[in-house]
Amino acid sequence: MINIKNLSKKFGKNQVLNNINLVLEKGKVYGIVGENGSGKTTLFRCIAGMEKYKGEVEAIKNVKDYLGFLETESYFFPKITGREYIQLLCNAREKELVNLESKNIFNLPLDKYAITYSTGMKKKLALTAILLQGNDVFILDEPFNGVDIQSNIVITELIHKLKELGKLVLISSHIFSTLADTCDEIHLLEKGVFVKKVYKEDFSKLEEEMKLRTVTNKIDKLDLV
Amino acid sequence: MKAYFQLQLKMLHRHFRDFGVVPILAYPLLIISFLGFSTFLYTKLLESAVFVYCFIAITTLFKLGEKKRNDFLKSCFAQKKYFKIRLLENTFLVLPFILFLTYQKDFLCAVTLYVIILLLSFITFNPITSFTIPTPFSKKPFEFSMGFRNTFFIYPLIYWLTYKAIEVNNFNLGVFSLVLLFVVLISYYSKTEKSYYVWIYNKSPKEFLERKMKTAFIYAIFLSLPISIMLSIFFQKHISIIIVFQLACFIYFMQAIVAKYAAYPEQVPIPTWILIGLSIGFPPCILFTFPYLYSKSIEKLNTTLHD
Repeated sequence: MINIKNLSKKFGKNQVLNNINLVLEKGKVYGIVGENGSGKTTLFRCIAGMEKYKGEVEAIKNVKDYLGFLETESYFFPKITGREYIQLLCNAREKELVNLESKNIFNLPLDKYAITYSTGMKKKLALTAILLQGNDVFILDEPFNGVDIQSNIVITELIHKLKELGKLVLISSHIFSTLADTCDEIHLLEKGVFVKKVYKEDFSKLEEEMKLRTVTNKIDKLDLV
Repeated sequence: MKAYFQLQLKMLHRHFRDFGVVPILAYPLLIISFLGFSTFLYTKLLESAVFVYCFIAITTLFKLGEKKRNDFLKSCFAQKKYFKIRLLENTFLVLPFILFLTYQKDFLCAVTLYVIILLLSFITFNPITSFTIPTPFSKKPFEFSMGFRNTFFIYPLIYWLTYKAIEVNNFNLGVFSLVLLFVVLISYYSKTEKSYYVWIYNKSPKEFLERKMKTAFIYAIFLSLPISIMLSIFFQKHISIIIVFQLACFIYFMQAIVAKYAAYPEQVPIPTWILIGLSIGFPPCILFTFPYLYSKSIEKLNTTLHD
């Protein structure tokens, strides 16, 4: 379990996160939605301990040691192969990498340089690596971005499997349907503040509400004829 | 075209400042380092110096010939201007080498080198190819596996220098090949990695550093032992010097790894380079610089590894 208490984060004078409180339990999938710049990625980086912040992130052990973090855009070294990337991440957690070929569920060209992969392939490589690390907590920042439809289905099933295994999963996505398919609860983040918490039965209401609030008015402003 | 070179100069000055040096100081420092290095090569390598010197001059141009960079230039400038830029860039970069060769009265080499760099202005290289260069260091990525792929072409030169040292009975050249190998290995640790690649470790800063040093030590033995063994066989009366150099290379290599993390996640700043320089110029200093850089690294890594 992870208990986030009064978490705030500023970049200079810009208050990105303001007094965030959230309790995350194992075996549950949490979705975070919000517009670009609402603070989702910063929140994830704070939970992961990659950013300094005010407040507390309480956990039984040091969270980062059993956390798999899929970044929005993973960085790959220029001349590292897919296989070596996975090896590096497993070495970092002292996880022995056995029979990688059979675990390559996205059929990635593992002996090619990761930097030559397409956006979707890079995402799948980074995801495979954190899955093979054997983590207990997963933060997936935009896991469906740039990924083909078949892999989307596989990722959705993977999230279900992680939940079944009692893992804690935190996801952000701009594709609402993917969150609705996988999450137990969704938190709406606006300007660094959680403004709403919605359970599964009310996901469709939230989607409608978000459409009304964010899309309709903006499109009207274009005066399209 | 003038605007392009002004922009390049601006960017170069930004690099200097990021490195912690004001441009006005950077130029004399560069000139002194270049002259020192060139003189060292010429005094130590004797007749082989000119080949090594030209090889180094040509390799400095590879970055300018990268395909992606050239595609961008081609999209910005008309063909004639593009080639002018390439010719001028290559000339600027190799000019110090040509001037030094002229000073050494190696006129033929100076002209040959200039012709080569002019020809290279018309060639682009694609460093990211579909061909994956095999590496013996895949099991413990990333420094050696990546570094090896970036510098694989230098290894034949290093081992050739060792061979040449034995052939012409030039012990200094043999030691130079060993030192050159370690300079190449240290370059694998010169660039600071993104914090994600440190953050992923479930280790304390001490364990993290030990692990990095252990991997570097094992791989460096694998690469340097052939040189040391060959030199020990053919220059038996200098065996104690070989041992001292081998040990010194390892100690400075380990210090370079520690120094990399002493300012983490920032790049290694100038004061650290000065400390490293001091420890090389006056070796007993390493008794102070190594522990200092080590404790700084532990402190800096702690913010990412949260021990």
